[in-house]
Amino acid sequence: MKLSYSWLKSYVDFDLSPKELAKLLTMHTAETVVEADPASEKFKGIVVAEIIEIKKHPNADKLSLVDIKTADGKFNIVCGGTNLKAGKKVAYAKVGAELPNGMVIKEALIRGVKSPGMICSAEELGLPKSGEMEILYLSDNAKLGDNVSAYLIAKDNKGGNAGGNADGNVGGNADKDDMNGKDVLLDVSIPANRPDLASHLGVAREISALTKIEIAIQEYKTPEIDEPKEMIKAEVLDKDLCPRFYGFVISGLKIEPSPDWMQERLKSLGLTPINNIVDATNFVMYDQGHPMHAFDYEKIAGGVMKIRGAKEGEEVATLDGIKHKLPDGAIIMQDSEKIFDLAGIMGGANSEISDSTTAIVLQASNFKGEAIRKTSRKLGIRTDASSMFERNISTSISPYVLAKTVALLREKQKGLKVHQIIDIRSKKDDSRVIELSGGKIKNYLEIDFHSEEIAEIFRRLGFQTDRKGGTFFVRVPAFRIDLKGPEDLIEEIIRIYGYDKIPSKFPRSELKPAKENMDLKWEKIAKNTLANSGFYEVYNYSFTGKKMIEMLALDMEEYFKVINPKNPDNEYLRTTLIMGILQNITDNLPNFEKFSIFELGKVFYSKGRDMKEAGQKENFIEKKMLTGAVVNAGRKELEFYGAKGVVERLLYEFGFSKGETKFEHLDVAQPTFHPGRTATVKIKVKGEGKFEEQYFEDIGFVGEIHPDMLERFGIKTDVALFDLDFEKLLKYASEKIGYVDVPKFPSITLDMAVEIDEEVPASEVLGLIASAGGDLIYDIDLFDIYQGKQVGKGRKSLAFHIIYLSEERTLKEKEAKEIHDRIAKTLKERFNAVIR
Amino acid sequence: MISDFKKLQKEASEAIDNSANAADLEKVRVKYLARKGELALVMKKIRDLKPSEKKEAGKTANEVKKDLLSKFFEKRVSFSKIPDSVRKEKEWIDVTAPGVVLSHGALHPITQILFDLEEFFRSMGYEVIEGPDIETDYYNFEALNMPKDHPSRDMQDTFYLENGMIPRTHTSGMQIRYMEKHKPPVRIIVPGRVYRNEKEDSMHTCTFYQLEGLVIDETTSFANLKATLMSAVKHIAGKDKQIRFRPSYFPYTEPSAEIDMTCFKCRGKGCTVCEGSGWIELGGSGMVHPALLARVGYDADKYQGFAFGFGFDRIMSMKHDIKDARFYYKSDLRFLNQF
Repeated sequence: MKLSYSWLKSYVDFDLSPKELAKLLTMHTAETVVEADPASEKFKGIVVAEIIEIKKHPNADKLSLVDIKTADGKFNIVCGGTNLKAGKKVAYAKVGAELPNGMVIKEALIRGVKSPGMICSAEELGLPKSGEMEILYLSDNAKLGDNVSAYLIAKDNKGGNAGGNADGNVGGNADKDDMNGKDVLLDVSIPANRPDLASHLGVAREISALTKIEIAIQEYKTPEIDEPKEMIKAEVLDKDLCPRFYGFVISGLKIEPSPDWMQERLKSLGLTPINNIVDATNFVMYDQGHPMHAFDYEKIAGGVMKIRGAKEGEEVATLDGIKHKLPDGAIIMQDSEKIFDLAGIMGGANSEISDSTTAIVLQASNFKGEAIRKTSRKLGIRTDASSMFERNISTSISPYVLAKTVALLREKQKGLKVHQIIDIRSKKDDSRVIELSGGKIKNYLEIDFHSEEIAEIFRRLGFQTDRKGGTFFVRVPAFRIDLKGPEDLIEEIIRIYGYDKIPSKFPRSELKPAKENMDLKWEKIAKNTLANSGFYEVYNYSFTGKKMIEMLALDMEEYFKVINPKNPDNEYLRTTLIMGILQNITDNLPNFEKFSIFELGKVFYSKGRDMKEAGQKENFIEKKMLTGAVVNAGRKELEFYGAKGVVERLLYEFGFSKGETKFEHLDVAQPTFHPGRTATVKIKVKGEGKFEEQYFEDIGFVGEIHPDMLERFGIKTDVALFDLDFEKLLKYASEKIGYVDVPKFPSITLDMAVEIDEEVPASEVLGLIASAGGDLIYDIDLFDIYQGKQVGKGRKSLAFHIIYLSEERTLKEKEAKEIHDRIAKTLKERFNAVIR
Repeated sequence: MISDFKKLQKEASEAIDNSANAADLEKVRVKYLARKGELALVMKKIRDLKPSEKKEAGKTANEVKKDLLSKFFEKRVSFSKIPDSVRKEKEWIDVTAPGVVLSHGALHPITQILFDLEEFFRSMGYEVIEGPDIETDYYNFEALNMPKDHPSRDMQDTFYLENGMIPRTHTSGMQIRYMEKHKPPVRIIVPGRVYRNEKEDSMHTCTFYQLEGLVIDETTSFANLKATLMSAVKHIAGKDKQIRFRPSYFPYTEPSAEIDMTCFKCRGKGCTVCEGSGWIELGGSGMVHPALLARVGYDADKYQGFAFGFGFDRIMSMKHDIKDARFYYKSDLRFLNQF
């Protein structure tokens, strides 16, 4: 919320620059920044610098060479000023800055000396000339590198200079007197629980508590009724929505412009003055933090005002001329004929004050924050009034607010008469007493306060404190609706005292080892294994767009939809990591010829996709997948075998030995993977039944991407992909690897090339070699697969290293050879193989 | 006889030593060690010796032969070695040409900082917990004292799903989920992906990573929070960094505090990155609101604790001066291969 610096100062006579005030509030109340005033645009590139040294220009008597220092370094500037003085802060226009008169600063060569920028005079900054002083001095407190506008708050032009005092200083404390229409705005981030703070009065109270300078609050008494008359019959039909209806019926008014000072205040907040009545209500709203509204009495039919919740579909046209179809629960006011107010948000056009208005219903009623917020969101109108009400303003302040408004109107409107005061209140939130024990303060903050210190802080905040033993009984004002329990008071203490004074102490507790999160441990192992195998880890968004889903020919039914995305790419939750990976490949191919990437992330889909999922109560599945790609390994089919190799390594790390994993040709076609170059990955697991029989469970795929899919993504190189259900891996992972003893005796390796029909799977050949070879086979390594001219059409050649080993003795070459020949014979018989 | 061998050994040794090149050495070999060389000639004479002398002469002969042969081979090897000066000239490669990466991969930068943080907090006895990305309204808001239509919900731009669930806007919902299932004392961190429905720019992404911390015990204080966060920041961002607290409002902590840390760029002097303050916002923290403790069935008179949450991807950005946070989610290898 934007607040006026001088308005705040009218309450508390503090001696702080806007910047200092902003810092004080930030550290003790709420984040506050000095609004960049349009002046800083005007002075863009003109910053605070300090004069270090002044030397004569070698080639010109009237010029000096001035060393200056600013936030981004030191510069040597040529300057014609006669009042230069080392140590003074000056306005330095950097190269590229544009002066208010339109002159653009360039690096100049002045009588043979380079000058990167310029030191400005008041005139050059478009300010009134400050006597004979050519160079403008800024406050000694000005911060190097700051835009000069913050220090050019011109005072009233008394004395005819730019607020320059005897030695030419301006700014800094230039606000002792009236501001010359040039106010500074502070933007205070009002916390959602502090409706009291959304006002000049509220922030001024804080400043008073922080600076210990008394706040000057004028008293306004509820006005006497001049001529009692029941002109309005008001009724609150829904007390929950309107905890207090409070209004005056007033006559004898003349619509005219509001006083100048009030207009200035409103203008300083960027508002346009309208007339005395509207301006008074706006002024008091920003002053007190309570919205109010004035209706033209003549326009309220039958003198009836009923406050109730709207029914869906009812309509009202607001002041801005827009007709709204109301949602259920909007708060409205109604007379005997029509709805005439969208209460708490914006007045109705049909009850608006006009130039001929003489009688009004002026009200400062209280409306329920939740209802205001809901309506304001649904209708898409946010006004200052609605955002004040959203925080649930105390019902206790209405009388003061209206009393002040009437008093301000009366200053000019001598004929003003109050006829009726309406007060219908169903909710009280008067001042209350909160009990706070000294022990709790010590427990929370570990600071040893003297009880006097605590009482003093509370006194500054306007709380009354009684003490019994070590316990404080604190009476807090009604408007501080945020204060409910002792912890709220501890916050008050520490923010006034200073968060920076909290000591730093480590917790004391039992020295217990933390429980290890095994899922995260496995995740770390998986990620490290892949990174060590040459894969780069990527993070893609959890969202996807319709376009991508269609491109992948996926089932839209499985997707969960975001109802309010700001970007079409965020419309759905991803159901697979594959689409992200494919997009990453497309994006990286212009820069990299070959690479490998992976992602370990969550996917989200509806349960319909696989009914097998157990234990999920809701129709919503969120699970981790591990997906990776090998892009252009550089040798034919190495993509697939590279991807498979890393999956094998991964499974090994997760405790699955060779015999416990299986790669089988894909049996059901699917759009992402190549039908003939894809394997289903299976792992051997123990069943949960009584006998714990073992079976193989599918955990994902490894395969080449379907050429049609590659085409859709514009990928012109071979890509192999693995897509694994990481949750299943976690479920079955074991820290015990398939360790076997390192052999004691030497092994014998013999090679064999087996030419067979191409459709015979390698796994079958491997299986046959193992069974035909028997116990003396230690390992079989398929090191080459060849298809081409030398073996003829429909045939392929598989080349193996077969490693023979005995665990009891040194194997003889002859023995190994015999087994090798036996294997060859078996292969010939079974697969019609040609052995080389 | 033995003296003959010794004499021959001396003579031949000297000849081997003195040969200047391979051709000389070959001549020496022919003269002394060849089949008809001088050594062979002397050895032939052993036959004529008396049996009592034969044994010793034979032994000496063998020793001399062995010695000379080894000296000969040693010398020959020395001739075949290419001198370094030649190698330098002939076997030269251009060592100034760029290196070749044989096989290299890397963890995502956010993973790297996360592993580091997990390790750090584990060293202080924290358990690392994960939670669901897609939360219910209850855990994301309501249980944290943010009822429906409460203005505190405005603090976070929220995505809503058709089924009423919410991609979590923070990791704080896990405070409740964890406490519901565990008795105090509590000491956990919850790292995770969080979502905000924001228009993206170099500072804002609709996805980012947060680290939540929760400690509950009988005497856990704000001073404990300060020491914990201070040490975490120094660990992850450098020993020269400080933190400061300033007032803030979070419905689920009281007192609440914003956590600022020393600006990376200017180290506290004030610059454009920190808008002149010397500090940058890190996250939120505070003492857990007693209403939360009561909600999960803890004795709020006995137990108290602190909670904090901060975006750690932001620390990574500042540490490496990454000016555009969108790079974390672009999967551009030109970015990723630098970490």
